[in-house]
Amino acid sequence: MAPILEVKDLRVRFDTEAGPVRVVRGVDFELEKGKTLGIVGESGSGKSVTSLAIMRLLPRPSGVIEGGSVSLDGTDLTKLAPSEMRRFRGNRVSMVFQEPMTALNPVQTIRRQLGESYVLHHPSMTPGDIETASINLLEEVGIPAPEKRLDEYPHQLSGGMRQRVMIAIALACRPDILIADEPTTALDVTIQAQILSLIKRLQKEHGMAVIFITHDLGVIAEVCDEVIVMYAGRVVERRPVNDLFKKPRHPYTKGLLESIPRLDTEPKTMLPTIEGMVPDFSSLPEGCSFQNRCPHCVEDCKAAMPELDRLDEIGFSRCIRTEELHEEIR
Amino acid sequence: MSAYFARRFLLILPTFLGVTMMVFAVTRFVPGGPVERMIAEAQSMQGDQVRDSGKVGQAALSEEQIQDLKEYYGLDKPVLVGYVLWLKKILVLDLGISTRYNEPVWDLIKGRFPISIFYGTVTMVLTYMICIPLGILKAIKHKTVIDNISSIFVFVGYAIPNYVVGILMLVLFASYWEIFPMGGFTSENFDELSRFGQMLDILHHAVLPLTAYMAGSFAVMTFLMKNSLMDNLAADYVRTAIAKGNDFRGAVLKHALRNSLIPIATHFGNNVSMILMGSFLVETIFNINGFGLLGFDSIVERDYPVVMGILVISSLLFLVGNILSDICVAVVDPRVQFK
Repeated sequence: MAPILEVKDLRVRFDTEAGPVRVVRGVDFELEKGKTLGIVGESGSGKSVTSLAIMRLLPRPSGVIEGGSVSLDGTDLTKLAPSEMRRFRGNRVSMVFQEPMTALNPVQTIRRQLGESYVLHHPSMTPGDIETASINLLEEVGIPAPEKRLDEYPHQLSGGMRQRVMIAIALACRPDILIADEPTTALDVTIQAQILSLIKRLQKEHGMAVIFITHDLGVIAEVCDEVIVMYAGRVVERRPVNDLFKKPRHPYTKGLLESIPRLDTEPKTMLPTIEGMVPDFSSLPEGCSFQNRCPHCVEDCKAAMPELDRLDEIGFSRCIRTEELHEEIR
Repeated sequence: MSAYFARRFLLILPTFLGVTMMVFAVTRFVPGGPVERMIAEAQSMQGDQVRDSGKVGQAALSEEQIQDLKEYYGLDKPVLVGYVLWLKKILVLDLGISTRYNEPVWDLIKGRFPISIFYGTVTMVLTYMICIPLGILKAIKHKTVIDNISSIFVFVGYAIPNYVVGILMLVLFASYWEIFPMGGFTSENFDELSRFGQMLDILHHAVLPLTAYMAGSFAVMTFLMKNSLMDNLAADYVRTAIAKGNDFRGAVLKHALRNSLIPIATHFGNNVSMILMGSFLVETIFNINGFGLLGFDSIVERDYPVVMGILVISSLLFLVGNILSDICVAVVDPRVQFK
């Protein structure tokens, strides 16, 4: 099946007062209809910026897409005029954000905010049509008494309910792709599980593709088919979810997986962590970006940036010692 | 919500009572009342006579005369009794007789109302009509030529006191170029003019004072609007609006604007009461017989009935203005729930 979304060599630059900073340095992936791609990485790895670049929602005027392409069903979104891009946003590509508390307009009713998607993309719908569609949508995302909720304001809803409303807004026009940028990070654990299963259910029903951005590997394991691990603006590993959890190939991925607290480790002992910090983009070292934190770093790692090597039919890793370490890791 | 505002209106009563106590106490205990003024006046008159006749007089007024005067102003009674008597009169809008004009204070104030209300409302409406759009423009065009140039004008207007602006304009536009009249509210032949002519006449007289009034109030409102809108433009919900498919204009007008009006709304009530009170300096310069000038003159002349009357009315306006602010905020911000 042809992928619905194809991102090729996506590069994003931020023009800051201290000079240009390249925060996304060539990201490639494909996404098939009905599949879920997880993007995982620490803060500052470029995962959120990648998603904003796909939506062309980078902060203006500092955020610039420097190169690469994002083709949705054959249309390169990076080349569209702003007015054409608006027809895609919220219509064929939608986004759910991290903070349901602030992502909704505090002074507008749910009815207005939900109906706006229809007003923008289906101008022929009558107010009656919009009301029916909105009620159905709220029902679909599991909001009880949707008729009543329509005329309420965001502050009258709980965090979980607000995120459901956000999802409803994103799904209003039946998008091909839903980008969820840490949609559960700000929520209670029980609510997190509900929202995750909601997204999974809706995805199955609508057959849309989902990009799930998170730093929570538990969430990744729960919902994703394929995972890309990002570090310092680059993809360091790209694997089907089961392969990744069973046998991480990149030392960074391995570090991430090891730092998850587990039930079978001795209580009150030190958790393994990845030492150090994500390097500053303006002073990335020559060679592999992960060298200063990598336990397996050798001289060759400092020579040149490793390629994203194909491991098998569907797996990639950006490490010169992948094969060598294959036996060593785990 | 309506219960809340009903309670707020009822709370005006005790607050107002407190205000009247303060006002009354100030006039009682601050030296230099009407009696002292009379004595001083009599003394200076007598002084002239004394110099003429070569005799040295005793006290200017006899004890008896002073006692009469005190009685006349109610100063002979104990403070509490005097206060209650005064309060009773106030409740029926009898604010007493001006010691300077010998006219009922209420009539004096009433006569000034139309002028003050005219200038107050026009100033306020114009300020909002100019500052809100200007603030929006400056927020959207932040750090562009338009933003910077308008900032210069706004800040210069803010830095120069409004009476200086008034004098400057009088010199330039009324004296040097003679485009506008020197002052006053209407021309001398006002009664002979047609309805339309009367309107034009008032406006013609109003241009300079209005500009002077507004020069200073521009900066606060404009920058409040600008900063508030810029804060909101950076908010998550504006990004959501764009992600839905809005253009920037739609995101600003449909989403950010109403949110950024909330701080403006909190100012509204205070502006109502303050603008109605006018500015005595501007009124002095342009010879406008408004509220501000009346208040200023009465303080200088120790015309206590007028001072007290104006204080009472302005504090009432202030109380009502506060409630107006609350109503405005409740209208723009649904999160505000008064209980």
